[in-house]
Amino acid sequence: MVKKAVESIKGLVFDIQRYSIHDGPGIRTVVFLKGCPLRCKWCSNPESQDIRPQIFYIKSRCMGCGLCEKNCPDKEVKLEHDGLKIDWKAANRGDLAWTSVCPTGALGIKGIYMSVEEVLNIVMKDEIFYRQSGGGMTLSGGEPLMQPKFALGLLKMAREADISTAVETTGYVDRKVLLDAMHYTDVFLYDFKHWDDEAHIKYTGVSNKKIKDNLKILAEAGANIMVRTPLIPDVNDSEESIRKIMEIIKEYGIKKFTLLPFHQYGSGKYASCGMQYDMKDVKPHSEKQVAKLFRIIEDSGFSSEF
Amino acid sequence: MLTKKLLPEGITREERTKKLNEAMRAVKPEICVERARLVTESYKQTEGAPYILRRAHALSHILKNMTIFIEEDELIVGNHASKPRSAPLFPEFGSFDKKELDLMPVRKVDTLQITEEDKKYLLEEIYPWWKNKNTGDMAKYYINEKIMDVLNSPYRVLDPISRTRSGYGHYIPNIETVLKKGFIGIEQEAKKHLENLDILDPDYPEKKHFYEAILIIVDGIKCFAKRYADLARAMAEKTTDKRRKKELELIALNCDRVPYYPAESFYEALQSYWFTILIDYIFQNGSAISGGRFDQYMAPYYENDIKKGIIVREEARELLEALWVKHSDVIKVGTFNSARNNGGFATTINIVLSGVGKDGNDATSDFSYLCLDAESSVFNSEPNVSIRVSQKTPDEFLHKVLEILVEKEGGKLPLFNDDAIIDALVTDGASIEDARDYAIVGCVEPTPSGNTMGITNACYFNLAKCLELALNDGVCPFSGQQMGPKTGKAENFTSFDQVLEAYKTQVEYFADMMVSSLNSIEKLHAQYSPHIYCSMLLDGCIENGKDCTLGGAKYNYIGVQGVGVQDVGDSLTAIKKVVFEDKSITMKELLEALKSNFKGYEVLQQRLINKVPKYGNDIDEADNMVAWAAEHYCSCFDDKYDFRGGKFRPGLFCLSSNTPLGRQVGALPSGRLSGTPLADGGVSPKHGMDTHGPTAAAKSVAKINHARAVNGVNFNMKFLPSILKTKEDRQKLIDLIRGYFSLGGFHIQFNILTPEKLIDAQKHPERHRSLVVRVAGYSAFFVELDRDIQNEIIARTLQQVS
Repeated sequence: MVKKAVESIKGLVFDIQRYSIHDGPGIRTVVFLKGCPLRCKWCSNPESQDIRPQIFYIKSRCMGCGLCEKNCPDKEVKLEHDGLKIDWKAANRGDLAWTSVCPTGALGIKGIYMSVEEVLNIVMKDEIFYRQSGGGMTLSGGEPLMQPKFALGLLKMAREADISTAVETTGYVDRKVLLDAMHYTDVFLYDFKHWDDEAHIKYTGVSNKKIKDNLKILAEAGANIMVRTPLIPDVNDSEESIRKIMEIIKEYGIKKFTLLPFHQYGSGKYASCGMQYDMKDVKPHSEKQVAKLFRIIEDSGFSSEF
Repeated sequence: MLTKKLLPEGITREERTKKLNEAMRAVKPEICVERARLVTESYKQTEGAPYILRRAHALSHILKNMTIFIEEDELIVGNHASKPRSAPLFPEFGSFDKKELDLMPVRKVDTLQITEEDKKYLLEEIYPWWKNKNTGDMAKYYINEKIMDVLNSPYRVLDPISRTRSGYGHYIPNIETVLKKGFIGIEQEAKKHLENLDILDPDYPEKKHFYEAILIIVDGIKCFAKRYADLARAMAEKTTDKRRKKELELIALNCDRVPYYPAESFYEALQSYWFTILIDYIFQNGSAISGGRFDQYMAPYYENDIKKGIIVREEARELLEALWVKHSDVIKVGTFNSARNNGGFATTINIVLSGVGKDGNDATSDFSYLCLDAESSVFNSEPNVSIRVSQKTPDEFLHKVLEILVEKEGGKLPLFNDDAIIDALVTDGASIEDARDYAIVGCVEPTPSGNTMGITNACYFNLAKCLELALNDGVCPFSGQQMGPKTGKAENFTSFDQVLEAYKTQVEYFADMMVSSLNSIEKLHAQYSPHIYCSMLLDGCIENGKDCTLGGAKYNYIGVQGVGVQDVGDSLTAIKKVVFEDKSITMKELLEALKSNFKGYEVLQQRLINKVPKYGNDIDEADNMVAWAAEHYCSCFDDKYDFRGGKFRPGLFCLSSNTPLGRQVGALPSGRLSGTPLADGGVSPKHGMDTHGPTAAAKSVAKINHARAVNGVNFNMKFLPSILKTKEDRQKLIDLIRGYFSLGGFHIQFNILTPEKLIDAQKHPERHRSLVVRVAGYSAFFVELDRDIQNEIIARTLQQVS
């Protein structure tokens, strides 16, 4: 494809975050693409899951002016004494442009269509910091490869701009897309959430078979992969569970492995999307518990550096 | 096993530093009237003599008669006033009225105890004698009446008058000269000049007075040090503690020699440094008399003693820490207003570490690391330690700096960009060697070392007020006074260019006022308060036979700071967008909204805040407007010089003056409410407005041409400690710093702390006495700050990074 054509491909982006320092080597800009095939209970980006644009309401920023109520197409939003009452299903239908009447930004949209060129223009704003640190662009989501043309376009152009490229993936994607992405990806941050398929289905909504197979093939193809496991209390946080994962990925020849300790920073976003958060009462691990598991990983010969 | 070579065994470094620090921090600062008495005595005796001789006699008289003491376990001696950490008075520069004195013990910032007896003494005996004799009172004879009218308004754009009260400070004395030659060297030079003076020289009398004044002062200095030697010996004789006896004897030996004779050991060099800088503070009411490139001139003494085996590293650190603690002894008393601007007893004795040497090569040494060690153990607001960073500075050194910041959770150790600053100083007229040898004055002001009369913080200039006046035809909305020129009714403006023109006219009008009034004040100082001691320590003065207040030093500047360039830029962007581009409201409506402080216009205010791009997010539309306002302010001084030929050097920083200056400005088109603080730092993005992360903020800041604001800029960035947990995290921050510096940024300062900690400190100041924070470019004990400023620190954007 010619460059011009690639640059004009559009995709749905719900956030772009500069100075991200835990998503690959160096200083990075993470581009968050919307849509995810998984429904993990602990998801810290609930606004990423649906593949369509959606309304996002931050109650604490609402000044109660009522402009949204006056401007919404069909009474989807109602101002009550303690903020907005939103009929989420109705409100998320159709064109959401009317939300721009909100003066405070309490009411907004998650998911806007951007071209590869537009995204790259923002990403390249930090070029000087990438050069200094060996950083670059990381695609995340959701599952970024759910928008394959757009994601590949972004990776290709970033590679052309000679910055580091990384992809955070669930692995639950079309194999061909994954192998295509490999050509333009310096490092995959590949999530592997549970070794046991039954448990995987229970907590994420999908089987881990495809994820395991893809991981194996990607590794065999010579991709640079760091496997990451979100460490979730009572789901996969036992020593045994971690060892099982390590056994599997060792077999695939993978050398980099790390854990992403459970946190609840995303909890507030559930309400903002009109969703229910089920992990409120789950207590995050102590630093000591996490350190112990990290030591096991290290002792097993895995590196946790990008 | 013996761990010490020079000092007696019996106390560890940690124990001594802890004791000294606890004693210093436990002091409840008070006013000391002794200096006021001594200086008045001396002036009464010298009436009629040339002022330069009167000044010299006054200092000598103080040094010979002031109370001196040596505190328990001190190794470096020399006190500022009659009690530790108390504030002497300088009636020759100005007096305090009863109201100010009554306020001292109850004001929330820079609280000072004073007895009724002392108050009475000052109000009845001291101040009446000085009426119309002190520089503060005499300012009225020097400054244009029309300017005085503006300066007398509480809503004024600038306040140069505080310069008359503060005397000289804000410069870097040549301490290296004293270490190397001793005051005996300076004495000999003065004598030689005096002997060789040409009686036909038209300046013969002035030069004669100048050199005679030096000799008078050196006599006082000799006596001062001898008094300490005698005291130490007397104390040694009395004490039964063997260890202390030995230490006191060492102190006595030091004071026998320095600062009169050249320093021969590291310990002597430290003592000589302290006397040299202390005497300046005893003489002058000014703050920010800086230590300069401490690690550069001190390292040879350290290395030599290590090599000769007369000291070990840990012992050197013990001495260094004892010296570090001493810096907190120097506090000055200001008026309530001045305390609010600069609060936290900020003497700001700046010490610079690392950077390149005069040859352009990296000059970081083991001793630079040792100084960081001492800083991390003591970690008070003084000394104000700054770090010079060149491309050649090792990452390892920066890691160490960041580790200290994370551990202490208090922002100190600002970083300065060698490469950009050296270039800018050369462009500004310094030689390349002098530029490479720059150090920092006060908080952020780079000047050459030991040869520059910098006066780097002469005045703050309220740019936001100028914009307000431009929108109100020059009338101050608070007072109704026609403060600035009539630039037209803003509701009649038909283009954005007219807004810019009106703003420029206002700024230029007040810039001229500032130049005029500061020049007048410099003349006033030169006539009545020549700074002869400082002249002894600035290259050029002795050669020229001319006091530094008259332009004797090699380089002369006056630093003037623009404040609120961010508020101006964001407001102009808003006007341009909503009034002239989108035309969503008229200028008339906007002015109405401002007049009512957005009451009834809340939706409009939110739109202005949230729907117009703001400086600090790497959005050119907003950033370029701020950069324009910065450039315009700086350009006002391109052709401005004081009577000494000194350049007016613009800077963009504000310490904590953005809070009081904000009280003088009504609501602004940026959405800012009336009376609230202006943006902090000088070039930092406005609180809470930089939502695109630290790289975006850094890039925005670097779009301002820092080289134009050569008197210094201040960029504060606040982090939660969680983002600097690992070495990799810290490396990324170092990469961020280096990236920002490669874009031309002069300065960056990190506050790494938790808001909870600050809120808790407000509730329980007693539990947080050691918490040091930087307020817009300098550091102070948090619990000693004004409540308003505390609140502002808490509100400052948390750079949330995941």
